Amino acid sequence: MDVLFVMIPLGLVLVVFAIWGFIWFVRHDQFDELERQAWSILFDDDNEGRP
Amino acid sequence: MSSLVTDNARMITDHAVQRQCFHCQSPVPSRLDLTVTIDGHRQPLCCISCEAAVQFIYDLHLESYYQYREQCSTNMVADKHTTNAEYSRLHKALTTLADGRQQLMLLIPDLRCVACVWLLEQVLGREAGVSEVNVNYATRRLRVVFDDRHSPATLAKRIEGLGYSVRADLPDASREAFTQTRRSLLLKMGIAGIGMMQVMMFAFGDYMSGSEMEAEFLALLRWASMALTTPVVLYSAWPFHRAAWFAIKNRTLTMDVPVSLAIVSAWLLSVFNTLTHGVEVYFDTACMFTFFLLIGRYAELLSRFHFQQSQDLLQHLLPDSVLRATHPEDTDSISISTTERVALETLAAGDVLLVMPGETIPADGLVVRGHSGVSEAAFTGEAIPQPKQPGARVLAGSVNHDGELLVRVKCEPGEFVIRQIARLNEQAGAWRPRWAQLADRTASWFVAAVLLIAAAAGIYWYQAGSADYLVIMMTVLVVSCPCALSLATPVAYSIATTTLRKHGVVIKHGAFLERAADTTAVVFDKTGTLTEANLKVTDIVLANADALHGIPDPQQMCMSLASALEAGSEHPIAHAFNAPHTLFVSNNKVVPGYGVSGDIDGQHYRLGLAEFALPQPDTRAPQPAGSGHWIVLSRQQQALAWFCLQDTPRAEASAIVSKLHQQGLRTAVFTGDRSMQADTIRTLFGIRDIRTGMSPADKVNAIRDLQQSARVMMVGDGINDTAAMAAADSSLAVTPRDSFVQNSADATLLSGSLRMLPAILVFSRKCQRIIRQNVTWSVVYNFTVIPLTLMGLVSPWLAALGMSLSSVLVVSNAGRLRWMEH
Repeated sequence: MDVLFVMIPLGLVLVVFAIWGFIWFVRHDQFDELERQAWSILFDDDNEGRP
Repeated sequence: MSSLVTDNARMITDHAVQRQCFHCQSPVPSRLDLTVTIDGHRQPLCCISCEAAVQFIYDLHLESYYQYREQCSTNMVADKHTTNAEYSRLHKALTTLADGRQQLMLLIPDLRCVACVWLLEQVLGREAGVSEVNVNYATRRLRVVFDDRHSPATLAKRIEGLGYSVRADLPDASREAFTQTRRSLLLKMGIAGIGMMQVMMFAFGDYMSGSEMEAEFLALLRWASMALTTPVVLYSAWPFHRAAWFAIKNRTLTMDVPVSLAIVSAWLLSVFNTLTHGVEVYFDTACMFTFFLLIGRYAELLSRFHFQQSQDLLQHLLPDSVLRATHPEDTDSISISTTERVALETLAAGDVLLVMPGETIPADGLVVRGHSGVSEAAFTGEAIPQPKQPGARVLAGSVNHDGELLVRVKCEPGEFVIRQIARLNEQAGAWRPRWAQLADRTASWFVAAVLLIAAAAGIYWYQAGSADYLVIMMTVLVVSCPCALSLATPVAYSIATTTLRKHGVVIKHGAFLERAADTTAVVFDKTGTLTEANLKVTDIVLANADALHGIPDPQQMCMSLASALEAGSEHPIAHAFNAPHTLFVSNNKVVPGYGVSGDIDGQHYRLGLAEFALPQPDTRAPQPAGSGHWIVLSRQQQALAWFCLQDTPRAEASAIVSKLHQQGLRTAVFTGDRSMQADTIRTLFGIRDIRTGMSPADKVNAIRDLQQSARVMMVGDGINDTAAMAAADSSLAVTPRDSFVQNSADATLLSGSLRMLPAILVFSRKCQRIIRQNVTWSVVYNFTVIPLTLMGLVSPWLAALGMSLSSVLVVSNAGRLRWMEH
């Protein structure tokens, strides 16, 4: 059971990473608009015409 | 790939079914036959610009746009082919990034669906020199980063070429603040959510082990939970603490007080027990309360956000700058070279503006030169252009379709009808029924009661020896928070007013929706309400066959003569005579109250009442029988023809009345006018209760009588029947759009048509039903859960989840008011 002394702090570190990631996403406008992405699969994204 | 052939043979097809443009979905003028052939089907187009746009989209192989776009509502049709947007203002929305590239922020008011977003991103993204494009569908804003191969104007032209209009997106303090609030709430919610999940995991270990876990592991779990819960309580739950603190400082109690108290006490007790190795910790409870309550707050914020968005778009219908004539006196010589570009807000009454085809009309005023079709979709929801000629009134926010117009500004920008609508919309959306206002005022007593009940429950369970007394106390504090109840009404009203506005109904008095829902009888005024208040010639009876012998179409001839005589008159009767003619009238005179006279080809003609046109009664030509207003045309005092003038009933009126009867409503007509017989009205509109020749006081009395047995809605023009409207339970005006400000009705139909009336009644009932459901749900929820919690039957997580689901339920139920059946 002593492994808990490693695992739980490790878990906390992971949570800190998750929170840091979440803050990063919010700051970079990832949650500003949620409707459009659901549609993106329907459209072709070929940018071949782009020079 | 689909085949594409454009074909622009123009043919005159007058009775064509109303068609929609394949590209922009606005109505196609019936005379135009411009089509594009897609996959073998001919599709109509409304203008050359749309044809160019279709061609362009197919050239780039972006045709899937047409496949996936939604049926876009035409309510928000702004100027779809702006030819000279405010390019000069675009640079204000331009910033230079650190690496030298330029960033442009644009607002696209008529962005209609997700496919539009994709199209814009594809088209701009393929431009050489454009490195980043983002379009935000929710806020209708576009951000583009580009290098020196482009200028704001070339990019704006590209977007306009697709049929969208472009506005510079200038920083706006209130919107900025809103975005900030939303973002910070999202951060708080996310952190609370992640923290909660982890803390629950630790708590789970604690529960499952029973009391067999060794003390050092237990301490480890508690310390870990504390490390996670502390930021949740101090950061995520901060809005609650802050609001509670301000409430207490102002010596009132708001809902935030018990919430904040519950969260803080759960946390403090747990910290204390962790440090002193006490019996129980409640970190999971504190996290859950915070997270779930934030969900409710977030739902509320989003619903306000939608309201804000629709207000925002109403504001952005008007361009930022306008072309003002430098010499307004001389209207004939004004051209684009004698105008200057000035900011919209600097306009004053009397200025003369030049409005190019495709532009939004920037000000309320009168047309002084030019002819054009103008679409007033922003007011009426009806996109079909109405013809405008010199002397016609135009409103800021409507779109000039075909011709160049000179418009004389009528009032200051702040007084424009569209601005007044925005203000009224804001007021009506914020209105709350009396019982809700009462509930707000008594809220602090309610909160005080909650605090007392929670304390009493805690004491009782402590006395009873329960270990859970603190949990029960905290749960009571959270569960009795009437969040859903406080949302029930305002959310519904703000959504309902926006929906009605989009359908051309402006509410002036918030109580309108509530009272209209109870209506059991509808009283109409006649002139201008059931009829269009413009006279038309309905019958021509020839009086003297000999005098007109040998003329191929004598009726047409008489009509032309009459039109020539009336051409110089401004009387309403004159508008009925509008046949084309080439006759020259000399000695044209208007005799007020009787008629007009004049000489044509050396013969003296008169048109008017019989005693004026026929000074010696002509026994061979008696006045024809039949109702209506008869006037006679005479030549050399000999009767030529009788004209029957009648007010035209509104085409939709009788159908509307029968729809009201289907809804089980009583109808009546109270009119001051005697010209139309009660029987005629009865057969025309199918209304049984008809009273003619009433004075304003008679109308008020008649409405009071009717109110003995019914809830009365008065429908009129809102100007002539002010007293009757005030006496009725609710009132609705059908009125010319520019006089809507003066009218005294609770609500106004800007479309000038009765067509929406049955739908409004149905909608107001739907609105009241939804509010009732919301209120019932929240009250029932609070009053069943509080006793259960007091009995210790509701666990904290269930209480918190129920709370937030309740708020979400109420907000989404109100969201059903975004649709209106008609």
